[in-house]
Amino acid sequence: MLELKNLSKFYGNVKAVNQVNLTISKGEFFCLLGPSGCGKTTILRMVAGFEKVTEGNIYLEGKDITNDAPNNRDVNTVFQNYALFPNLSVWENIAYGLKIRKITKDECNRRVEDVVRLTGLSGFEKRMPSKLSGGQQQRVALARALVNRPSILLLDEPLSALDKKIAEQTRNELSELQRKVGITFIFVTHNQTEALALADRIAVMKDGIIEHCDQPKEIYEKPRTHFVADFIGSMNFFECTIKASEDKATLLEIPEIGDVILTGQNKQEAGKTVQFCVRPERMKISMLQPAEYENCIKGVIRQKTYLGEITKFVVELAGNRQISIMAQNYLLKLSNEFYDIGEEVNIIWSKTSGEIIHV
Amino acid sequence: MAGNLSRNNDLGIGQSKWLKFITWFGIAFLLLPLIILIVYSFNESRTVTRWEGFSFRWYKALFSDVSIWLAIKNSLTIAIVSTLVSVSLGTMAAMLIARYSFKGKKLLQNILYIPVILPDIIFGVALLSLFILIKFPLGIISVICAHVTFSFPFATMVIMGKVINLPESLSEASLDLGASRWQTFVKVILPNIAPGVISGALFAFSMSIDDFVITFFTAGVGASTLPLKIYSLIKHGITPSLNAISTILIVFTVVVLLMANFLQKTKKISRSFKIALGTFFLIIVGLLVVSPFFTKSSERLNIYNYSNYLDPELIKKFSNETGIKVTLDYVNDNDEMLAKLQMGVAGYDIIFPTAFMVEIMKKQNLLAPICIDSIPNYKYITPGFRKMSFDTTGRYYVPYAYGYTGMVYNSNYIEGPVDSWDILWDERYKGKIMMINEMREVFFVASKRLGFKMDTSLSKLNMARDILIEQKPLLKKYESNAIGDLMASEEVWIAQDWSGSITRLTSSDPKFKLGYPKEGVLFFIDNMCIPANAPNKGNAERFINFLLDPAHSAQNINCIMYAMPNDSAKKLIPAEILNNPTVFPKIKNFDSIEIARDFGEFNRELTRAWMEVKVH
Ligand SMILES: Nc1ncnc2c1ncn2[C@@H]1O[C@H](COP(=O)(O)OP(=O)(O)O)[C@@H](O)[C@H]1O
Ligand SMILES: [Mg+2]
Repeated sequence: MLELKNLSKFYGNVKAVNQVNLTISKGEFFCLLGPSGCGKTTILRMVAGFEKVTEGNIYLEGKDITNDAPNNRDVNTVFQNYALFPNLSVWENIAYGLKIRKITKDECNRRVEDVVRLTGLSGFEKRMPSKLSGGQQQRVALARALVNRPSILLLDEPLSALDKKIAEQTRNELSELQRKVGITFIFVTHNQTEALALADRIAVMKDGIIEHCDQPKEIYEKPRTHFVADFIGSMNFFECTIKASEDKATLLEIPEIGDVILTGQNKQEAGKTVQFCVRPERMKISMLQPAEYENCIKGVIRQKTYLGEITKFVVELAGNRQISIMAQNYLLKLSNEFYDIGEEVNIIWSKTSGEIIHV
Repeated sequence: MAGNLSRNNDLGIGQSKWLKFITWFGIAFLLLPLIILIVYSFNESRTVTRWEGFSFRWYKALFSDVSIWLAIKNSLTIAIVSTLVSVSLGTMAAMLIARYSFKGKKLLQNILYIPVILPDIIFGVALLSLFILIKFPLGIISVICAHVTFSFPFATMVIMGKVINLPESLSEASLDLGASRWQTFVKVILPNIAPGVISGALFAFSMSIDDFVITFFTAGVGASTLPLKIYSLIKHGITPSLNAISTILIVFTVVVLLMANFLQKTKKISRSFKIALGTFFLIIVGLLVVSPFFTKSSERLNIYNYSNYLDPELIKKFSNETGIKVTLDYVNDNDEMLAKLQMGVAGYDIIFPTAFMVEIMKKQNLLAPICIDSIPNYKYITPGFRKMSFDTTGRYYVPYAYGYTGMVYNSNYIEGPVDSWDILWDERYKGKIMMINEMREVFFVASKRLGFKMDTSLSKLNMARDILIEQKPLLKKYESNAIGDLMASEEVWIAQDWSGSITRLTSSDPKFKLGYPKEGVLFFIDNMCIPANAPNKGNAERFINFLLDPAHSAQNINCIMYAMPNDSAKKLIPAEILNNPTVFPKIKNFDSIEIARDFGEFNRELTRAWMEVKVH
């Protein structure tokens, strides 16, 4: 179990990491997600011991390791650029940590062989790192860390240097691998798809602060802040006031556009200004009138982009506001030809869709 | 790749034939002297300017010369130790600068450039002043320190190139995998910067082997390096022997630099190459470490003399008989000797100043009185040489050898007999006459031609000056070092020359003949003196006594071909040497010979007159 207590790191005036509290349990696949520069790497480097902590503490299995040297921590890192030793072969790279720990030759060979097999590197043992592809280098970096059986494995954007296909394949293998070895993974990424696909839990970061930490589904469905809602997937936002609210339904007034209803929420404080947000794929364009369980507003189609799987519309609402709407192309097939740029349409969504974000 | 970027175009830019021609011409100009030097090192002939067939003669002569081996040993010791030290320091400095940010980092980087930019001579003088100030004894160690200071910045720069290219994350990965900082350095950093370290080492090594100027200033007893030895050999003109050493040095340097270049390009060094290089250095270091034990001895004697001015066999014999370890360093002229003594750190026991220099040194209290009682063989010294005008007490010098300045001429072009200085003013030989490039020698000749003794009279001096100016259009040039070469190549037909050099020329070819002027010649007497701060005064006296033994004196004369004031020795010398007037001038009355003196205050006038002649 890893615990970060009020962990902070300041570079002069820059608060790279600001009062972070996190508890990561054993065997968890944990993701740190956020845009570039938000402090993910800094957290990882403090856990690994490369960066001095400005404030706060790090506990590993209950033991305070805040000031331990990196070579005394039961933690291993897979570096973003892999950092393979260019002077050593694949085998020697992997065996490096074991040799340093003076593990017997037999044991060492056995463990290296195991992880070589596990990471699919059989046959490449004698190669030098410079003679490997990016994906293979990434596996060597992984194997080199895993072979030490650390309590925690830290991975800093391990897939970002790979091209899309290989990254996707490696992502699946990584997930499988983690389940096999049962080691806690802390995975840093700026790619939400990776995070959603891999993580047991995600912490979304912004400017050194954790905005929201929860399971992927919760983060996607019930973002707690505007930033999280905006950063993960895409989102349409409406500034609005709560007109009335009871236990299971809330009436919201969007200025110039009209009233909408959201059900399935807790009771809200009336008169408050909030943000109402709906995901583009939950909205649809229609000529028809809404059903009783649906909200409806009016708009004019301004853009229409065909993206293969889906078609993306940009619709202009009253007061020059624009929102986007995604339509699955298999549903659209015919209607695709119906709706064209410049047409006035109804925008319809279920009253159960959407989320209220407090500002 | 630059090659891929440059395209041929229709404008002809970069294709000019002239550009190519000039470039190649420049390169040829650069290499030609070296090629000539290498070719002539295999010349059978003594002279540099005439080819007489292929021979290894000069290499043989070179390798049988103990003093050259000693110089090579010193050069290698200094180069290897200074290389090891500067590479270690350089690696640390490179790591510090490349990896850490700290106050004064920019300053440190700029300071590193100072030795690169600063002229060697200033650097040398500065180091010398420092050594004197902190009373650091000059010797091999001081030279090593000096070499480290100039090669360390170069090593740092070369190594830094590799360190900067090494991602920081490699060290972090190693620490992350449990290695300590030291293990990380040895297992990860060092193997990856090794090509830089090795090529830095090779640069440092070749710089150290080649250095003359800084070594010249910082060398003390027993620290004569190969370049210093070469310079001292130039005293005797440019011989093929010199070409042979230079050839070896060139080949060695080129090999070392090629290796450095090769290593900088390769990323990974093959194992066998590493082993070969390692063994090579281990062997050399091993030899150097072991060799002092063979010659270890507590009793020492440090001699500071011109090269080829003392029979090396005698030194060997003295060492064997007494167990005293003798170190011989080479001096180039009297002024250098004076400079070393004035520094007060030289540590020499015997020096060989010329008479006028004895006078100067004595005035400056740089000489110790010699205890004549402990030199029984002093009795063999010709009495006329014992208390001469430059030291009437006779306590500060023991005369060593003497000679004079006469003339040498090529009898194919000049009809004999040559028996007067007048011939140096003879219009018929215009452009083929040469004078020595020393003011005392030149003004002496002019005074003699005018028929008076050279003294401190201004009017006489000005008259002498005037006839020298009159002579100037007839002269090839003023020259001290290459007289033999210019005579051999027949560019000069008649030259004022020292007797030792005349002896060599006349014995090499019968067409060269001695011209002994009836007006009189200027004698020089070189003496053995003991510096005031000599560390081994007793041994110096023992050695002087040893040299004065008639048998040893005779052997020495046979070797260096200069006369010595030792009457008993003369009986043991072969007649042809004894009767050779260039070695033993026919002197009726020793009291009347003129020797070069120190003019004291008048030196300034003399120098002024000499300048007036030179610039005319
Ligand atoms: N060594 C450093 N010195 C100064 N600022 C730094 C340093 N390292 C990181 N930062 C700053 O800290 C913030 C967080 O950086 P980082 O943790 O690398 O972000 P991420 O990995 O999320 O992209 C950034 O604003 C970055 O500029
Ligand atoms: Mg990062």
